[in-house]
Amino acid sequence: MSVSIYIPSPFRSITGSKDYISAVGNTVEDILESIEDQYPGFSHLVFDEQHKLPGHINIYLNNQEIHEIEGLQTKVRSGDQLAIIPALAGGTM
Amino acid sequence: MAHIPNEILQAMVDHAMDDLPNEACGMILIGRSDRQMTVHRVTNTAASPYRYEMSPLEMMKLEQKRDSENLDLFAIYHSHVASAAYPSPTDVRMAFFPPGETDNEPMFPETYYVLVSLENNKPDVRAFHIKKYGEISEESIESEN
Repeated sequence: MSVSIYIPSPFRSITGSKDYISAVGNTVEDILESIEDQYPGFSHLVFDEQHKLPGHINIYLNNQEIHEIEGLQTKVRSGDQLAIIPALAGGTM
Repeated sequence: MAHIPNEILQAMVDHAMDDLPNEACGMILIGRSDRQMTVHRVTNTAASPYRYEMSPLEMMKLEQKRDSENLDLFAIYHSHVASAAYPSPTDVRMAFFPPGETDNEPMFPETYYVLVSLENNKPDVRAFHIKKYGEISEESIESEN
């Protein structure tokens, strides 16, 4: 399954300034691994040391947050759109 | 120096007031050619007086708008409802990716971080750059009509 992935500006140094890339796989996890194969170092941005998604990384499949589906095991279909978005947050405390 | 039209400053203050008691957050986009600014409110998914988390989906849509309409991210703004218009340690930590890794370049090195304080009767709006190693550099605001 070939999926289109939206790359936000803070991550484009890894993808050579590309805002969209494509990758193949059957699940979101497969797709992320495929991106790492194409752009070594990508996983370091997305996963923590336990290879889990930290709270400051948001992944959307067709505009739905993947934790609302099946997380990394969410199945993908050809033509799906994946977006990986780092949190933008702050505040007084 | 940050040149910001009065109407843009007022729009950020209005947003901060509208979202009380919680912090408000959003982005200012600017045209690369015409330098026209627009304020875009973003939902604070934390819905907290002490913290903001921009809706990732709304952020993505604004970034796609930037890409497709030849816009730049001029400023990221948020309010402090009961403290000064100055970046908190959390604001600085979250300006980096991964958060707190201040040895990296900040996520948006050219973008102003604008703080709107509602601590006092008169709102205070100040602009900053957050730089590598967490250095905070205040940029004076020149308001324009």
